[in-house]
Amino acid sequence: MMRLFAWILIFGLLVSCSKNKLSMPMPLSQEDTIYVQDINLWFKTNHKNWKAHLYTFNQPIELNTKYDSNHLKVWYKTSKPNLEGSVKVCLSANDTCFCYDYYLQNKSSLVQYLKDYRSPKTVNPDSSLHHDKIYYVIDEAQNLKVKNSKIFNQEQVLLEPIVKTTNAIENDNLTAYYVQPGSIKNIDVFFKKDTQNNNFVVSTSLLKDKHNNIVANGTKICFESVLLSKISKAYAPTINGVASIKLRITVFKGFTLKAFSNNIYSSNITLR
Amino acid sequence: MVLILLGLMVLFLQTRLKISHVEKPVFLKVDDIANNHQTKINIAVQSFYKPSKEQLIAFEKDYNAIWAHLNYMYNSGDILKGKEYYTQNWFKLVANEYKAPLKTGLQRIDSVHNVKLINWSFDGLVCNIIDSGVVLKTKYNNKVIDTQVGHFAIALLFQGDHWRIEGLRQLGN
Repeated sequence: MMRLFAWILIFGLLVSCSKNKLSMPMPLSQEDTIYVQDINLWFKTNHKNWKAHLYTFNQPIELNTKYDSNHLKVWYKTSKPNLEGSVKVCLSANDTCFCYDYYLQNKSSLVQYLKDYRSPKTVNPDSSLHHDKIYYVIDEAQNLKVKNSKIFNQEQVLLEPIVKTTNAIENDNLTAYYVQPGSIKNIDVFFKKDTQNNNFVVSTSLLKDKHNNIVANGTKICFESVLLSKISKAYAPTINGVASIKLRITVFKGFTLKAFSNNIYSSNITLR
Repeated sequence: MVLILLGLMVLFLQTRLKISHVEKPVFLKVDDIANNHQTKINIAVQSFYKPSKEQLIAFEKDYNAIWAHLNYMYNSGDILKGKEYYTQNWFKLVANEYKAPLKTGLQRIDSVHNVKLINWSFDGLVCNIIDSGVVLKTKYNNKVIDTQVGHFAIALLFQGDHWRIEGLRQLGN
């Protein structure tokens, strides 16, 4: 009796499983490539409640379905571009899923952009004028493009030693890189008397780096005045390449003065 | 007195409720999706500039997290959870087709990556890689229904403390 009951149970389970099992819809469309903007696929199936999804590299997209006399139409329209490559179109119903592989493309060619990354962003000619450039082409759907049989490119660029700001990509200020002035090549120092205000006006020459660029504003210059054992120091920043100070004639007359920055010294002058 | 205490309690609870709605900054969030994701990543450095050991460890951790979130987005349709690992342009791309998260029962699982660092920028903010032999399994209701091997060229940018995916191209064999 128990054995009979077990057989009835197994038979019942088999019947219920075979009822739920769906057969694989037969694709009627022959193409391997589908276009994301206009998907039209046909399947032959006797089940009408399929849900259809497109799985791009990134995400599932729900597709529209329409069932009519053993034919399932799967369709989708969009104006948006997408990432190209291998994708799946999956039909699911009653805990059953069938997936079909396709190659996804955009219907028309997309706008392409050159990406050009430079580093370091700021170059100082005291150290090196070498510049690293990584560049590639990408379209509006983030597809990397092949150009001259390469996807990625990297170059070492030798920049001109001229102070300037350059956009790696034209009209894109976020891609700007900068050549800054280097340190002072040499210093000359001069003075003139302003007797009316009782001052020596001491100035440097126009200070430039070894590439003839005017040094950066704010470069600190030290003016050192010496008379016997008296030493006096005054500091001034350069503005447009020149640093200057004023010293009282009554105090500094007869002092020997030199200007320096880092290890670059001017010759001595005597304040008279 | 009791009423005042009750009033203070209500005010305290309201404040707590308000605070719970504020999104935590990234550095305070625990990223369970990335932490629970395990994949084998072999890295070969072929670039002109070489990353330091620390940079390489950070890259591997972020690359693992990128795939964790790409898979999560693939499985659920949720584009927001992984936004820290997408550049602005990548996020715009996935937002194009986003309507709502989906429960489809389909899952993608990546198991092996062979990453070649093709370019590494001097400042360590840009890198280009080829990831080949990526084993991708597709599961439906926890049963493997498909296994494929993929090859990808990927552009990554270091932005806001993370490597983020910027561009991709699927390569042939």
